[in-house]
Amino acid sequence: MTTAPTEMTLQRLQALLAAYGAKPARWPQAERLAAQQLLRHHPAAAELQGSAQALDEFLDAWQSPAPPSQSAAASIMQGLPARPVAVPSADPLWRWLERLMDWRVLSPALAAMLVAGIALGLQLTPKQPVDYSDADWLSFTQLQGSPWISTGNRQ
Amino acid sequence: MPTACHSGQVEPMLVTDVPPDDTDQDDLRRSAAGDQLAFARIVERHLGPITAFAERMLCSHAEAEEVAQDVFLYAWLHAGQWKQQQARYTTWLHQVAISRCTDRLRQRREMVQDAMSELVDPQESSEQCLQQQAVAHRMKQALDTLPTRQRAAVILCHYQELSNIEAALALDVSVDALESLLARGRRSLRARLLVERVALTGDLS
Repeated sequence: MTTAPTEMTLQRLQALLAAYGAKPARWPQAERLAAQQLLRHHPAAAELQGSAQALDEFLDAWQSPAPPSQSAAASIMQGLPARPVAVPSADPLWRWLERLMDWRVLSPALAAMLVAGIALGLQLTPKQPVDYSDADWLSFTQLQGSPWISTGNRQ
Repeated sequence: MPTACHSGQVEPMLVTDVPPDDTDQDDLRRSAAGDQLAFARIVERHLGPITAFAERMLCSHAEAEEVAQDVFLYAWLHAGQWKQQQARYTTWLHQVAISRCTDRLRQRREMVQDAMSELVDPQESSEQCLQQQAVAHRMKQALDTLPTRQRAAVILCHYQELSNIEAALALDVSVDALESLLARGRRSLRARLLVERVALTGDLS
């Protein structure tokens, strides 16, 4: 985080003390320096800090809990599944493909494709059987005038 | 921003202004490939802070160790999903711990009350120790009355010493919202504790 100079007001310092307490190390890094400068030059600010300090002392009275038992780490390690977990690929494209091939993604996609295929098939199926007799007759009559067709009455 | 759901998945974090922590990266990469020795080093580095956080949240050392076990099992299973540039690894572990502690607090509120009543160790006999324990005990009781997120915010910033950005990430809130949680939490604590200050601290202050 950057430490850009920040304009500090007594109101903002009051907000910092109310939220983070009296210890400057707990204040946001970007505002710490400006707040400390205000504290040095403003008696009212020092009073506010003293008020926050009282609560900090209470909080500090609750000392660090006992460290974890010696068996805790061993217990954690024994509880781990022995099977190595999958290592994701470093390549973003390959990771995207891996995610795409996940059954949770693939199953709905396949189901949607199946439904779309059935619907398309139904649309393309003819509603009535084709009567080819008319088509044959039309073709034949159209060809009668053709020089390639002999009608049998040519002299 | 991270998304921490209190009962399930904790998504990887998405921020850029938190400096990456290189300490864990190599061990995390090895852990993702199934290297348990590498993961043991991660556990060794983070078990103490995570257990301490859970103990302050739950007021129970035994429950804190159970939470830590849950957190590190989750971390093992999701080691491959961690991305270096997003946040410090400890922040993410705290986020998982908050989720687990919140679940337990929701389910076991009455058990926490019982555990708190056992926190003053009768073996300590000196007057100074007894007085300090009384203050600490009152502190724990006062913290326990806070809403879970205010309590977590105070613990993360005061005891775990996470920065404001890290604490906001761990709680999945903005920095402004974190400051609001902290200010409300501390105001409640002050109202409960400072009226008893003289009686409780006596020689300590």
